[in-house]
Formats: sequence, structure tokens, C-alpha cells
Amino acid sequence: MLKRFLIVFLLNVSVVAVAHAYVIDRVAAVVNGHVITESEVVRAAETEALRRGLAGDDAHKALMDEALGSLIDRTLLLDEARRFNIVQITDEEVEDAFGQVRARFGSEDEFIEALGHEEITVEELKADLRDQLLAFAYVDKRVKFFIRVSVDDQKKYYEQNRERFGGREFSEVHDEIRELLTEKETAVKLEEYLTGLRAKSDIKIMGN
Amino acid sequence: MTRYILAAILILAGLCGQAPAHADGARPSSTVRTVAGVEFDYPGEVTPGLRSLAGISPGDRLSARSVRDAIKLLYLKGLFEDITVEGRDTDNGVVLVFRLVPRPRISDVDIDGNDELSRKAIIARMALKEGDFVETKLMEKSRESILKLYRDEGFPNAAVNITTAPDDPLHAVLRVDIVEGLPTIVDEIIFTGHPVLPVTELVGELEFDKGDILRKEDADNSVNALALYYADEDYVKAEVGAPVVTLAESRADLDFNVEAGPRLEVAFEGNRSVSDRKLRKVLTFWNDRDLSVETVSENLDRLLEYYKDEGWYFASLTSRMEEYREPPKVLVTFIVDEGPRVKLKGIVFDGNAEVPEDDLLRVMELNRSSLLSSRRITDRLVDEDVARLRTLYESHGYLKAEVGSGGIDFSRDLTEATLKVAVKEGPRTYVTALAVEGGGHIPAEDVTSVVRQKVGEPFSPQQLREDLDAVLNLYSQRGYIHAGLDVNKEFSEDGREVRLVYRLDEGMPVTIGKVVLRGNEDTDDGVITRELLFGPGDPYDYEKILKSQQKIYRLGFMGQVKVQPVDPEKVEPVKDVVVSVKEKDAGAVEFGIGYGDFDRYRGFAEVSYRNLFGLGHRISARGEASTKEFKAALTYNWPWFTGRKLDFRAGIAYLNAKKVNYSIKDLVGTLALDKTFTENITGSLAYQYENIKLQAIRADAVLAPEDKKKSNIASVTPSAVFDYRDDPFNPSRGSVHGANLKLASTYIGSTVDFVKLTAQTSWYIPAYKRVVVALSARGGIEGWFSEDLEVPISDRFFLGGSSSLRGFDVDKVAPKGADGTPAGGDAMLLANAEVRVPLPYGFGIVGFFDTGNVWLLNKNVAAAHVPQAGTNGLRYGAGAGLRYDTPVGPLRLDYGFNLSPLPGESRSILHFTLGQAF
Repeated sequence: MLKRFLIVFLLNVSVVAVAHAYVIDRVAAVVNGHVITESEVVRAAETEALRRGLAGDDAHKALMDEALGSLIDRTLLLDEARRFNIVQITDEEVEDAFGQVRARFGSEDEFIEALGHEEITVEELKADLRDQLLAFAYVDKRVKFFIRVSVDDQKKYYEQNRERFGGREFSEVHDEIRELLTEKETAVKLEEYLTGLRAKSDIKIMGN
Repeated sequence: MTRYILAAILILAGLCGQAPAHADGARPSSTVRTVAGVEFDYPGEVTPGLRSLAGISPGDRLSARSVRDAIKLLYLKGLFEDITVEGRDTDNGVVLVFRLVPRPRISDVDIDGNDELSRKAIIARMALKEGDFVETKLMEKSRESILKLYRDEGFPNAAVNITTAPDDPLHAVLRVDIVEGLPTIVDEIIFTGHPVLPVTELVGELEFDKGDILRKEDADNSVNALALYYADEDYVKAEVGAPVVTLAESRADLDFNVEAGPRLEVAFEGNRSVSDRKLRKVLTFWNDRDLSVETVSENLDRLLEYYKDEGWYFASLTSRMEEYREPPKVLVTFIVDEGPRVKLKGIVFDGNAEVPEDDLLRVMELNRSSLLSSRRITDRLVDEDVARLRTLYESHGYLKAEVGSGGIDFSRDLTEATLKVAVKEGPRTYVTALAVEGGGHIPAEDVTSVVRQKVGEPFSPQQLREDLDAVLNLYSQRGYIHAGLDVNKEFSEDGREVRLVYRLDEGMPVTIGKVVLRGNEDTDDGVITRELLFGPGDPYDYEKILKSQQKIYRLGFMGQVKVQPVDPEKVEPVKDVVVSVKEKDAGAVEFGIGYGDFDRYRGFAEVSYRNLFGLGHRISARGEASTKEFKAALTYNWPWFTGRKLDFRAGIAYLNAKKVNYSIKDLVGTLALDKTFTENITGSLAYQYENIKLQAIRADAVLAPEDKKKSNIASVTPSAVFDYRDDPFNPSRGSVHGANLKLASTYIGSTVDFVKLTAQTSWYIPAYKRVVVALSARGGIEGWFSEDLEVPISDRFFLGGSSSLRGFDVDKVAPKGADGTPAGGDAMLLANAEVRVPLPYGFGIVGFFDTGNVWLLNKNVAAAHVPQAGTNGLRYGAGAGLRYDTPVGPLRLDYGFNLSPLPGESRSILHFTLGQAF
């Protein structure tokens, strides 16, 4: 799961250049006292635009609201994960994730240069990776753990989407179907959970 | 793509790595740009602290990271609604403009429409008060709280509206508009069912009556109040229903349905030694409000436990319950067979070869006796003491020790018992090796130095637990707050040896990042930051953070202080810390009255302000008066004088006092520097200028030539105090030592030259139980630079009184003039010894012995004025006293006997004052 989801990009802060005064950065939202800046939202939107293969300099702009929403959700999830302390991330897991990030670079020099460009240290990168893993692990424990997909549902899905499986029998694809349906249900439950969290949290979104 | 997957991707949006190609829309920052200037657009004061928090200076490289960090840190101050950083290109680089939108603070709370409820009551319920920041959520919460208040107070139709109106760019007025409506008034109160007791008495137990406003709290409490009243009247099973309230146009009728039930009567038989009244206090029928068989059985057990605890080891009890119909009554009779009262005569051990009997007896509760009662024995105490003995053996390394009761031997008349304790000590386990694995950043020697369990010593599991805490504490002090520690115990086959291996997981070291101050509107940032024991870059040390919090609180003008990291649970190498304070009123008015044996009635009043200019300076004006003297003083304190860890003190004081043989008017100006070197050592250097005028001089007073006119004494006094007491007001252990040297010289404005040295040492030794032995010695000597000069009378030594030689009048022990009037001396010695015995309820008794005297060593003066009259030897006083603890020291009543009275001296004196004698 880690490999599948661990996608790391080198991003730059987007700077909108205007003739005279221009905004370099600002508060985009405040979630339970944690500040999310506009540069962080831009970075997240650009990442998603890249991932979706959207073209154009301003491709990320259409995703700004979604990106802000996801960063707010991330902050809420991390707060909950730390508050309840039901998952622990080991140093080995952090080192493994760090290793995967490191492996994306051809050489140590390139890696160090990228860190310098993003103005973070190795320890800070590891701390952020730990947070990301924590958020994932918390979602797994808090939401995904309780989801059960019955065999009937799996069969129903198979019958409705037979053509996708290229003639394979149910017994050959039921694991795949179960995982797919679990992910779908997790997304639904996670959304419900996040809606509840947002309702009881202190969230301020700044106007433009 | 589901929201979840998007969220997952965005959650995982990494911080660095190489993009396959630069993202469209992303502008690569290949050009390095420089910050040409930093400006702030903010209607309030832009303090140096604010600038430093932004952390960006002209000349710095423009960095997205530092701009982002600056925004987050500035937001933590809690002063801003919104923060935007704009850039303006110039030839020299980029000028950064921080646009800070202030959070308005409430300058006033304007309440309108509250005719029935006070402003104070309404404000007490509000979530927002004057000085708080405006927050919409809290405005709504305040509105709901006020509405609830009105409903609880009997105004169900009240309406509340809260709005804000700008006062200035940084402040807003909170407007609370209230429409109270009509209250609910009590019309009728009736009792249905079988209340039995008179209605007037029942209504008397309620907090309301006909015609009163029906408050919710009173209505809620009415059921309990009635039930309690019924229980007090022995109707312990009374059932009182919640009142049925019938409303008609703001008038309410209340109907209480009551079933009183039978009355309880309790009787005792066979209790020859314990009164009915004492036994009744043990019972719980009235608290439990229950008369079931189970409750009777529980109370029987309680009575039995009471008898056993009081020493009736063989007591037994039964009970009898009888029910009557007319009138309904339940009679519960407890029948006691007390048996003899048993005293514990002794405790005998069998099998303790290695651990001395005294050590075993010391931990046993059964072995404790008091002056007022002899030792008792109960099965419960025996079990508890056996458990204590097992723990003791374990702590001595006897991990397999077996300890148990070997039975109790009774005397023939069963009034005395001897407890036998059987011990099988078993092998003793010793620590043969101690190793540390897994560390590295902290040397192993440092780790083993905090471990008290040493190789070659007996193994103690309790000590091991303390050592684990000590090691984790060591790591925590050096910033390794995530360190983990486990101990592997490798025992030999025979159990006599154990090898301890400490396995450390140091974790990541954590340092302090930025320190953000929050909440200090009136106080300068520096006043708070100078109290911090940590700074950016230091290891994250919990202990220093806690001590810093205490230091800020001790400034005296902070109501609340919290020092905590921004993200306490986040595992990160650098933690930014927020210091949040809530300022309180720095002004204080204090006054008091009292009584002392010497100066009789006394009173004082003081006005002070502790945070002048927001710099922590203190100014105070104090007046004190008694039948003997009047004092007035104006003092100014400047802590951290000129930014150093040094306190400056300036003051002017006026004293008008009646002494033994003269009156004195003394105007004193003082300039002093005080320094706290360590927690225990303080020193000071003071310059004092005194203008002294003596009046109402008795004919026989022995004065120095300088005393006969207005004299000026200018002096420099260095002094030091070494204070190791556990409590400065009422010490029970430790010691305190001090010395000061007063140098008066004409070179600094004095009309007389002399040197006066005084020193004191006091020791407080805990003795048996909480008894303290207090010992003190004081001495002084003064000299002069010319044999013709005398020390002015105001600086001479005198002894006698509640704080020196008890049993003697104040200032009466000194070389005397021809007719016996004390003239004072130039050398003094005093020693005091006291045994302080605490009693219950804050009282205490003491026995004391004091000795000392004052001498005149200047032979010229002695020859001319003071014939001495045979007072060269030590004087002695002894006596006893009573103490009563107060928060500022004990009230003291001492009766002292003069053991060496001279003709004309009292043989005994009663002293009454506040504070210990030394």
C-alpha cells in the first residue's frame, strides 16, 4: 500500500507576479489553530494536477478548492490520530518510506539538492513522512478496519461488471473485487467521518 | 476518482523528490532573489518581538519556506485575524510587506436591559470578557449561557442579543441587549400523599415560598432538601417526588407527593464502654436512606470494624429488627458483646537473620503509638503490616522472602497481645553487572551515574523503577524526549545474582525552535523571555519548561501561564514553543490588623503596583502603625537592573518610634542592589542615608555625643544569605546563614564612623516523627575608628523580647547606666534552642532555652557612662509556648522564665506575636 500511495514530487511554490505588489503567500485556512498557507494549497493542487496529467500553467487552479479541502481533512485526521493515540508508526516504517523517496533520485547529490530546494532537512522530511503514514494508519484503523464486504455484494458486483474481468471466473477475481469494494466503502465512510469531524472543529477559511 | 483516493494522494503529497517534468503552472525558482526590506502594515505597535518572530531581515535570500514559517509563527501570537505577505520588486530586491489584520479585542462589555439580574452575574456566565478577543462562536456561546441563566433564575421568556461595535482599529465594544420578560412566580405549594410532618415545617425547608420567583436551582434542590429533612427526622425511607408544576400566566403551583414511610429508631444493648452517641455516628441509615436487611447487615459490619479498630479484638455483634404499624416505626437494636479491650504488648520476629528487628519494626503501622493512646491490634493491620514487611525484604534484595503472621499470643486476662511474625528470608540477590546497550549520544558513564543501583549491592526492584525514571529524565533533559528504556534482568540459577542490562532506544533528539509569546498585552516581551530557562536551539527539556512556567507565574502579575509546544504529540526534531500568559491586575491594596505583646495593637495598609511600564517594575507605598511606632515607606524595585540578573531597590522610609529611654524620628533613604546567585544564595549591597532625631530622652539614657543633636548616618552594607530551609515561614529541615557588615563613614556623608558586623546561623533538624529541633546562634560586634567616638544609640545592640531572649523585656538586656537603664552595647551573643512538637488541627507546642548577653567592649565609654553593674555573664531564659499555623507563619504565644533575674527584672514574661522566633 505504501508503494502504491507514496508518490513524491518536486514542487515549487507558485508565485504570481504582478507588476507592483503581489501576494507571495497568505493564510488560506486555519484548522483548530493550525495554519494552512496558500502556498501549501497551491503545491497540493499542482501535485494533483500532475498526477491527473492535466496540461497548462494554470491547470492546478481548478483543483485549489479540492486541495484545500484535502489539506483541511489531513489536519483534522492528524489531530485525531494524535489525540487518540491508537496507532504507532515505527522508526522502521519511517525509514522504509524515506528509502523509497530517496530511491526516486539518481544520486545522493540530487537528493540533497532537492532537499535544499525545498528548504527542509532530512529529519524534517522524516517527520512529515511519519505524519503522512500516521494519517493513513489512522484511517485504516478508524474507518477501514470496520468495513466488511459480503460475498453476496462481491458476487453482485461481479455479475454487474462481468465484461471488465475478461472472462475470468468469480473465484479468480473475488479478492480483487473485495479490495475494490472495500476501498469504495472506505471512501464513503471516510467522507462521513470527516463530515462529522469538520462539524465539531474550528475551521476558518479565508476569503480571497 | 473518489475523494478518498484524492485525499490519499494529497495526504501523501511529498515535500521533495524529482518531478518527471516541471509541472505546468509551477514556476521554478532558478533565480535567487534578495529581501530588500521588511515592512509591516498593522494598526497596532510593531514590536521588536514581532519583527524577530517574522524572522526575515533585509539581505536574506527570499525563501518560500521562511515566508510560510513567518506566517505560521506570527499567527501563533493570537493577535491577527489574517496575515498576507506581499512582495514589491525594487532594484535592490524584493520588499516584503506583512499585512496583519488585527483580531479585535473587547474594550468594554455594554449590557442593557438587565433590571433583575446584576451585571456581575451576567458577565460571570459569559464566555467572552473585557480583554478577550472577539470570536463569533464564543459570542453565540455567551448568548446561550445568558439565556440559560435567565431561565434558571425564573425568567423563561427572556431574549438576548449580542453584537459588536468597533471602538478603534484594535478594539471593539461587546453589546449585550436583554429583554427579561415576566418571571415565574410561585402561587401555591401543596403536599399530597402521606407527608406526616407539618406543612409549615416542610415549606420552611424549601428555598422558596409563595410569591417568590421560582428559580430552577431551588426547584431542583427542593426534593433533596425535603428528603434530607425527613431523614433528619428519622424518616429515612421517605419518598419525595419531583414537584408537579402547573403554570398559568407566569404563576406556578407546585405539588409534592410524599410518602414518609416508617420512622427509624436505633437502640444499643451491651455497649458498656462506648456510648450510644458514638456508635450512632458510625451508622449510615441516614446517609443511605435505606432500611433494608442488607443495610442493617452493612451497619453491623461497620460497628464491628469500629470496635475492632478501637481495640476490642474479641467483640461480636448481632442485630434485631422489629416493625410496628401504629404509628409506623422500625426499631433496629444492635446487641454487642464487647469482650476485653486488647493492647498490643509487643511484636516478636522469628526467622529474620539478616535484617535487624529495628528495621522491620520501623515500617510497621502496628508499632506506631502516640502519646494519647496505646497500640491496638486488628487483623486488617496485621495483613497490611505483613505486606509492608514483604516489600521491605524485596527492597533489600530478598526476592523470595516469605513473611506471614505466626499467630497472636494473648495474656491470661486477654487484655494484652503479642504478635508473632514468621519470616523465611531466602537467598539475597546481588547485582553482579550493569551494562548499557543501545545508547551512543549520551555517554554510558553519564547514564550509570544517575543509576543508584550499583554493582555489588543487593538488588531492589523499587530502586530499579526509580533508576529507570532517572535515566529517562536524563535523556529528557538533553532533548531525547522520545527515548525508550527497557531493562533485562538475567538471574543466576540459584537466584543470588542478577545482571542488569539497560536497553536504550534514544530516538530523535529534539531542540527548541522559535519561542512565541502570546497574551501579553501590557507586559514587555523581555520581561517574560528573561524568565525562560531555555531558548532556540537548546535541547527540549521538560523540566526547564516547567520551571520556566513557574518562574513566570511567580512574577505575580500573571493569572495563568502555559508553556507548551505548538504540536505536543508530533514527533519532530525541532519544536516551536508557545508561551501563553493571561495578565491579571498588577495593582494590589492590602491591609491588616494584629496584636503583639510589645507593641500591642497594630495595623498596616499597602498599595502596590507590580508591573510598572509593562517592565515588571514594582512600586509600593506602605504605612504601619502600632501603639509604639509609626512607619511609612515608599519603595521602588527594578528587577533585572539594566538588563542584568540584578535587582535594584530604592526607597524612602520614615519611622517614629518610642524606645525604652527615648523616642526616635528616623528618615532613611536606601539604594540597594540584590543578586540571587543560586536558588539558595542571595547577596546585596546597600547604601543608606539616615537622618535621625532623638526626642523625649530620659535623663538617665546613655547617649553618644552624636545622639544629642540631629545626626546623619550614611552607610554601605554588604550582606549575604545562604538559605537551605524547606520553608522560610515554618521550616522543618535545613539551615539558614547570614551575615552583614555595616560601614558608616564620613567619606560617604555620615557624621560618625563605625563598623558593625552581625552574623547568624540557624539549623532545623527533624527528630522523632514530625518533631523539629531548632538551633540558632547570633553574634554581633561593632567598632569605631576613634576610641573617643561612640556608636549611636540607634545602632547599638540590645537583647530581650519575643525574638531574642524570651523571659526578658524587649531591649532590656544590655549594659546599663548608673540607675539601671539599658544603654546598649557594642558586642552581642545569642543562642536559642527550641523543640517544636506539632499537634493536630494546625496547633503545636514548643519548649525553648535562650541564652546570651550584650557587652560594652569600648573601655572609654564604659568608664565614662556605664558601670556595668555585674552583668558580664550570660543571661538565661527558658519556657514553653503554643503555636497555631497560618499561611504566613505560626501565631506564637511563649511564656518565658528569666532564669538569672537581676534586681528589678521580671521573673517571667508572656510573649505574643506572629512568626517563629528564629
